Parts: sequence; structure tokens; C-alpha cells
Amino acid sequence: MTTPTPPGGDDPRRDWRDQLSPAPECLTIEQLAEADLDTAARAHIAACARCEAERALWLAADSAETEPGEGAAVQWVARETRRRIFPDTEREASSGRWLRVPRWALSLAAGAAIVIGGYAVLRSPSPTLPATAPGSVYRSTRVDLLLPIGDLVVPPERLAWRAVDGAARYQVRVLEVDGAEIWTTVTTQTSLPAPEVVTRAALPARTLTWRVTALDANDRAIGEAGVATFRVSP
Amino acid sequence: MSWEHASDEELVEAYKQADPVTRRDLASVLFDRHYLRVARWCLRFAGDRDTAADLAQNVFVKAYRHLDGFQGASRFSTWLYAIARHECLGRLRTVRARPEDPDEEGLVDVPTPEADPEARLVQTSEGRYAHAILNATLEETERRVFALHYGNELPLDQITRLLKLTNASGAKAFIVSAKRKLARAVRRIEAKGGRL
Repeated sequence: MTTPTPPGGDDPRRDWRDQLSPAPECLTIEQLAEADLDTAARAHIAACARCEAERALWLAADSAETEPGEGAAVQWVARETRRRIFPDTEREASSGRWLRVPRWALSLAAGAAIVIGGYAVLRSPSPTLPATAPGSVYRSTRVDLLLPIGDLVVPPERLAWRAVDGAARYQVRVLEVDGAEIWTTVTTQTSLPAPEVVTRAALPARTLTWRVTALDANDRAIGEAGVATFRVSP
Repeated sequence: MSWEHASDEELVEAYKQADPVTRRDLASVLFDRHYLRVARWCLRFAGDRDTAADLAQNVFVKAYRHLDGFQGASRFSTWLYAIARHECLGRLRTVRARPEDPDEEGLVDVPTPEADPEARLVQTSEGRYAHAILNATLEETERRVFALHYGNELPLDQITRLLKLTNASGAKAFIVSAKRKLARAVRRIEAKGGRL
């Protein structure tokens, strides 16, 4: 006789979870990911809801198809991930491509730009300032930190953030988690090489905080400081 | 040397034997092939791109740390998927204790064959009795959604994205119909003394 009372108590959710958790005979991800399943694997999947679901999950994950509407977000996440994992490689790759252009081509392009630009300046009407919308206000923003963020594979080589409208310079601080300052500087740039004191402090598993405050021409803070933490993965 | 045409597994082998600078270059070449795939997976799991980027970053950091331990017993892409799956499920467990349920009361208890010899036979020869009931009762998608929701405790919106369900209410519709069918099936099985 079947009883509606489950063996593990009165929580059907927990009991279903136990029933659907991997059993010793269940297939590994490697086995489930095989393009051509053997007879035994097919038979197991046909009888096991857990492995059937895992196989479906793998097939969906392995598909290179991008769903409508997710393409731009996928591209962004991929770029962002690459930038966080190997930021210097990306910089070297882009500069490498630039350097592969022959020098004579660069000279030719520069000359052409001067000729075309000069012609455009001579032909263009006088510039005018855009009208300011009535009641418009200056909107302060938080500094958006780019690198380093989260777990890293190696100590950071650069610190980078997005420019803030109206900022004349930026105060950058790197801190211990207890707030003790490791390094600080003020710069007009939006990225800096990480100084040795920071790379030395970035020991594996040691979390550091960094903070960037945008300053106007009078050294007054604009909006909120950007704050992020990072650590070299142990 | 150009690594453009090397397989993922060949790149990992070369990585293991290379000097530190070359290792980094090789890992970069290898990971370049997989950023989009992992980004897509993490995005479907997370539902927003910032969380997805954090997840994907952790996946590649872990892959980088353990690359020396990759034995080549599986494809690199499968190995990376296993890391991503583990990372995403782990993240889920830290952010929510229990997934939502559109119809908590409707979840039937797991049936157990206590005395019926035929039911016992199903349990011993085909694995688990509950799986046999799921197979006999539910349609394919209902079964998958049910297994992911109650087995892995995946939220329904994530299952909708991960399985690319295109119906109006996604996984929710399948879980509701699965529970109703199971409740009816268990009543029927009880009436038959535990036989499927």
C-alpha cells in the first residue's frame, strides 16, 4: 500500500529534493554532455528525471544560439568579464593591432586628415552654443569604478574608473578593510598604474578597498565616491 | 607559435608546461573562446548583467586557479560548464534560503511503496519509485521543470531562461500542471494499492 506520508517527515519539498538528488548510478556532467549517448546512458536518462533535466540544462547551455533580446547583454557580460580577468592583455591586444599598421599608412592618414579637416573648418559656419534648458540642474553622480573589482587572478596592474562630468581631478585611495590607508593620490586621469605599495599589499585572499572621489576645479567633491573591493584569489 | 588552430585541450597541455608569461597568454587565448558561452549561461541564470558579470568573473578565476588540475578526462568546455553550474547554484544558495513556489499547498508528498511487491520491484530494478511516477505521469517539459525546481531548487524564472521556455508564463505553468497531475496520479496509485 502506498502511503501519502513521506519517510522524511512532513516536508514534501525536502523529500522531493532528496528523491531528485544525484544517486550513485546517476551520470556525471561529462557523461551527460556526450553528443552520442550509449545505450546504458540513454536508458538511465529515460528512467531518471534528475539526469533528464541535467541533460536538458547542458544542451541549452551548450547551444550557441542567442535568444531574442539578450545579444547585447551577452556581449556586454563577455567584454566585462574579459576586462576583469586579463585587462592588460586587452590593452596590449588593441595597441598591438594599432602598431601593426605600417608607418607610411599612418603618415598618409594624418596628412589626409589635416587637408580634410582644414577644408571643413573653412567651410563650416560659426559655432554656436546649445541652448540651456530652463530649470536644468547639474546632476551629481557616483563614480563608476571599472578595475579592479572582485576576485582577481593576479594583483591589479591598473586602477580605472569612468569620467564624471564636471570633474577636474580625482582623489584615489586604496584602503585595508579596516579603513587604514595604504595609498592615496590625486590625478586628472581616469586610470593609473597600480603603485608597488598596492600590488605588494594585494596578497592572496587579502581584501582591499579602493575609493575614487571626483573633485571640481575648487577641489570640492562631486556626487558620491565610487567604492569597490578586490582580492587576489587564494 | 600561433595557437589559433589548437584545440582547447592542447592549449591546456601547453599551458601546463609553459613559463609564467606564456601561461598567461595561453590562458587568455583559451578563455577568449569561452567568454560568450559563459556570459550567456550566467546571464540566463542571473537575469541581470551585473550579477552575470560577477558570476562569470568568478567562473574564470576558478578555472584559472585550477587549470593545472584539468586532466583532459572531459572536454574543456564541459569542465568549464561544471564550474559555472557549481558557481551559479552556490550563489543561489547564498542569496535565498528557499525558492518561491506558486502553489506550495499543491505539492503532493513523495509516494513510497511500503508493501506492494510490484511497487517494490520498480524501486529496486529501475532506481527510484518517485522517478517512475514522474515518468509515468508528467510530460517531458513538466518533468524537467519539476526536477530542476524541486531537485536543484532553482527559481522558476531562472528555469524559464535556462530551458528557453517561450510560453507566456514560462516554468510556472509547467510546475502548476505537474503538481496537479502528480496529485491525481498519487490518488490513483493509492487506490490501486501502490501499483503504477
